[in-house]
Amino acid sequence: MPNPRILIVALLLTATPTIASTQPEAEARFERGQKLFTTYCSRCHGENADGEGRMVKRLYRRLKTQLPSNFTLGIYADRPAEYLRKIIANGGENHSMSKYMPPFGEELSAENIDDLVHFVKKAPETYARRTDP
Amino acid sequence: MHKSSRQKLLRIAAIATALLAASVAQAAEVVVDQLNKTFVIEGNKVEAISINVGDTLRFRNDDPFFHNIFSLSDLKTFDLGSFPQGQSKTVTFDKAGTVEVECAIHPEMYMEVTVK
Repeated sequence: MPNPRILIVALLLTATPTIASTQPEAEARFERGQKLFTTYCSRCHGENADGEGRMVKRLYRRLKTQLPSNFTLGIYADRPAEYLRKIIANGGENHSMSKYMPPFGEELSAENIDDLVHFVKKAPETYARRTDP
Repeated sequence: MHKSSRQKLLRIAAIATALLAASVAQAAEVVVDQLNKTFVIEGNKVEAISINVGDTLRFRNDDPFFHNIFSLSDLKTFDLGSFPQGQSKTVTFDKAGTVEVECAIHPEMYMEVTVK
């Protein structure tokens, strides 16, 4: 029977490179998503993803229309990635959400949309961390 | 009401109607194509245009993908929503000043409308 200590060491040795390689990748993906979010989404969803973008203050409240989602709320981190991908690609109206949410599927690549979804799912912990005392 | 007063009122109403009809006739509709992610009028790319108070801009999507039109300018704040190729949306400018028009899907699309 193999020595359990040797087995643990072997497992650690094989797992460490995986963790090391996925962490920077996740960070890079978050940064790419954040950049895309600033360019395409922040006008409505806010610079801090809190749903308080310029469009909300200047127009949507006055129109009494459905307001953009606040991604700092934990519920969006729990939404299936595929559901978020479809809303970004097809627009809000096709998913019983705001008719003012445009469809970005023709402008953004599948990779762009994946990066955005990654950012949205990480937004609650990111912005909660930033606003903590 | 005295007959002469009634005739006077009718004359004033006729003049007012004629003036209103004249002003409506003067209001123009300008077609702005959305083509290659730019704003185009009669085949020319435009980043700034000048129109008169009362004029209407018709934004027509000539690209094979969705476009959107909105403005957050103080003078005129609107969001005409998103629409596919072949469809158009209109907006009438009823005050003098400057309005910045953008597309929510393509951040590079921008046009300044001066309303005189």
